[in-house]
Amino acid sequence: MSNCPDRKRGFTMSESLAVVALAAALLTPTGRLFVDATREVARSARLARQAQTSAVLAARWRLSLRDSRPETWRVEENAFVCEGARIEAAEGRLLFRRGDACVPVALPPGMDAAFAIERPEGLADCAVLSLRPRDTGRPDPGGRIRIVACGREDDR
Amino acid sequence: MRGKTSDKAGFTLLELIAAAGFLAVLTASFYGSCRYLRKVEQAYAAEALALHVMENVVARCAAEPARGAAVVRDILEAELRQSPLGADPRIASACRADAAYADLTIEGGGARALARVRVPLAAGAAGGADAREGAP
Repeated sequence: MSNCPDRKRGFTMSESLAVVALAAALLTPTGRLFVDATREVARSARLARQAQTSAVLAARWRLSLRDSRPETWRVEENAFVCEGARIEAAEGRLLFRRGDACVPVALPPGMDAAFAIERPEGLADCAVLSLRPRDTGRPDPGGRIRIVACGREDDR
Repeated sequence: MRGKTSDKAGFTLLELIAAAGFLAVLTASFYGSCRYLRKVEQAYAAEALALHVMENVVARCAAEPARGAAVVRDILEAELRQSPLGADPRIASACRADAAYADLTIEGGGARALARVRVPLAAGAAGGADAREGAP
């Protein structure tokens, strides 16, 4: 590299390229890991919010149906009707109506609600509130939440 | 950087090796942290789902006045099957019962309990002392 004998030589182009390639090889998976880690943290935060909101929803859902008889249950479009109460799924929340009173409870962010009635043979009927992620085009198998409530069983 | 007698034009090989080693240590520790974070996140998600399953089981058991161990176990299995955890082959349910109580457990990988609950059984209910699944 140099004519001067005591001069420390720098690296050649090939040595520099090798170092750059090594650094790139190390940094590429690190970058991918960083993206994954960011995504996992975001998912954790979303799950924590879902857990909090769904706990409130579950308590209100079970309380609303606690004293109702399963024979009176019916599912309408975006609504669940039982004795004296009506639960409606609106945009981003559920409306718990009883008489003139209406209690809105927020749905977990990014989720929709659906109602169903299950009548398993030999067991008590149960009303199911299903929370599902809105169709975002991304698979999220862990995002489904099923909340079961049972009513008053007088004749069992 | 550049003197009269020693003209340093770049890093020495030792410096580069040290830098690459430092980078490798940083990458390895970051990789380990990410793996740990992912593991914790997955465990948290599984526990949250297992708690939902157990809450449903308790709600349904409360509506069964004549609940024996067989009924409780059937409810647990049905709820687990219908939850997202049901698709995971590592997740299993266990029901250990005596005459008075049924201990219900949802186990993750390595027999780690994700959620556990004790349900009182109805006195004299059929199958009250059933302990078929997960018996020690």
